[in-house]
Amino acid sequence: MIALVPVSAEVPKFHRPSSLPAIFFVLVLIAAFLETVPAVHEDAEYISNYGTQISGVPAAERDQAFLDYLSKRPLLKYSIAPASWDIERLLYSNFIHGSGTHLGLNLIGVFAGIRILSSFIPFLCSLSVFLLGGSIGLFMSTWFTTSPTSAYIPHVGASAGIFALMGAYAVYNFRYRTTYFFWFPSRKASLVSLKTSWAVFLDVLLLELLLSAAQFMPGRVDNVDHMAHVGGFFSGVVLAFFLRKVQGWPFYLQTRGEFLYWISFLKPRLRREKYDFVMAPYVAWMELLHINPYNDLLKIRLFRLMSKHIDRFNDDEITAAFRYISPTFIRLQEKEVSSFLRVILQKDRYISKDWLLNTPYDSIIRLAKFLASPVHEQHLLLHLVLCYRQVHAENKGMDRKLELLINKLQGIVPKPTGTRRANP
Amino acid sequence: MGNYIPVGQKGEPTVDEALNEAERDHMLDCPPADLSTRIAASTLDAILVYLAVTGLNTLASPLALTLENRVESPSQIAAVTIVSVKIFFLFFYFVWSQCLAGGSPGKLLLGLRIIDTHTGHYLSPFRSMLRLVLSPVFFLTALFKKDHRGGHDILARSTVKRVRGKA
Repeated sequence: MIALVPVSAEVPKFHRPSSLPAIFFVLVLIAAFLETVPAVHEDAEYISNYGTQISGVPAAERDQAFLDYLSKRPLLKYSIAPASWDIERLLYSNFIHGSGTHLGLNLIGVFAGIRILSSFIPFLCSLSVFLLGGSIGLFMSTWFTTSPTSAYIPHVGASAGIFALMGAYAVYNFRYRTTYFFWFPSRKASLVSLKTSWAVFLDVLLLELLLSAAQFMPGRVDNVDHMAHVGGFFSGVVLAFFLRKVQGWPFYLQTRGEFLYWISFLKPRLRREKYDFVMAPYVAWMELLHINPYNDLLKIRLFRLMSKHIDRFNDDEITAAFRYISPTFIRLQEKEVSSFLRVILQKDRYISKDWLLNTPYDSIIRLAKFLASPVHEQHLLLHLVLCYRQVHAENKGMDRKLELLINKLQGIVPKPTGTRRANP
Repeated sequence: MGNYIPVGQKGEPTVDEALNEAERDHMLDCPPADLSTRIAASTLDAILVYLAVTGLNTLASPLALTLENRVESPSQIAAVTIVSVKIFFLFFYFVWSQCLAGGSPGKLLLGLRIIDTHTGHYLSPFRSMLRLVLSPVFFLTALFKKDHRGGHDILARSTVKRVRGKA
């Protein structure tokens, strides 16, 4: 996760996460580190003095003496170990770090985690997820530590909490995309958008599960508590599911802004008014898309509804829906867009001129490929290309390319029957 | 009549072929990718490959343990197996993806495509490998050309285009 840092869910500017709560929490962690640094140093010195402290002990009793010595280490006053824990120290362990490097790496994760969750839940909820999920993750890692020599090794760090935040984020944004920063010093090309489900699968499930399983193998132990990461992640997932259930969050809403609008205005209005199964969802989803035009799930539902009941919609309503078919949406949901377009073309409905003007040529080619089957409907793709050429007539380069394509297609595609309404 | 087409004769183009040709024409007209985006794509590839290789490395010990008592020198066999898997993975990641989709995952994520300079087709496996082998040597030569084609691009007759953008 350090290599690819999640910056934000792919949402409009006004939904983008706020950095202030994350900065506040980072400062809390730094303060906790400064407070516990003396205890960490004292602990390190205590461990380094182990040789001199038990030098007089007979060889047969050395192991027990070693464990007894470890059970009194200073860091165990604040942190947990497999053989020594309680609830208070379990919570404190989330705020203790063994070194500046440990803290530094976790600060990146905490900042990213708290920040990206602010698009979905308030700061207090994020904090609860961090504390509860992190504590459960740390506890699970002590539970899976079976080696007797590890009984008094403290389990510390915010990373279990960070993975809990990631787990919660995965639940809220699973079906959408996340923008990641990959440490490249360029304004143009330092961010990449990936489907949250893939990134979670690759970075968390595959890598961390492999690494935590490998820790059970001899010679593969490292200082990173991968088991706590996995435990924290799944705790965050469970907590997020519980939170969404309590909130009554519909699965097709992405951001907190949409949810608050839904719960405050739309839901009561839909209950009050006489419910039209076609127009009521249309109006509701158009209002929600006005708030978050990047919500692909909502767009899919909208276009499926419109495809099924196209005769209920007038040209203005269809044009309004076309505004939400962006090139990115076409690239990610070719099948859905082409299905909607097929219905529009079959019913000879109006295709928005603005949409044709603003859609790149390669997006039209993508859609045309889907319209190429079945064979008896290939005239629809020819009609689409003709409409596209009509609005780009003034662009000579584009017009030349489209003329070549149309000439080729006209030789292959069966001619459309009847007259078609040209777009104004 | 059947579908037999005599050698040397082309059949009638299909709709898919016409659209693919239109797509290739479009990609040829797209602007060349700038250097910073290409370097960013390589950085992203390095990160993704690193994550994959780290995961593969963790499999070495469990594999060796599984092979113990079944074969002689299990750790050597496990090491050779893991190295072979890594080589295949790198081949699929850099060469096969370039032939199939026009670029490695890092390039695809940033909207870049590697195509033949004249026809717009994706590269063959041989030319992809040639380009891959030569790129560490010739990459910097791209700094000195307006179209950002380095020596490896010239020798492999390829060009890197930025394909995402407005009409």
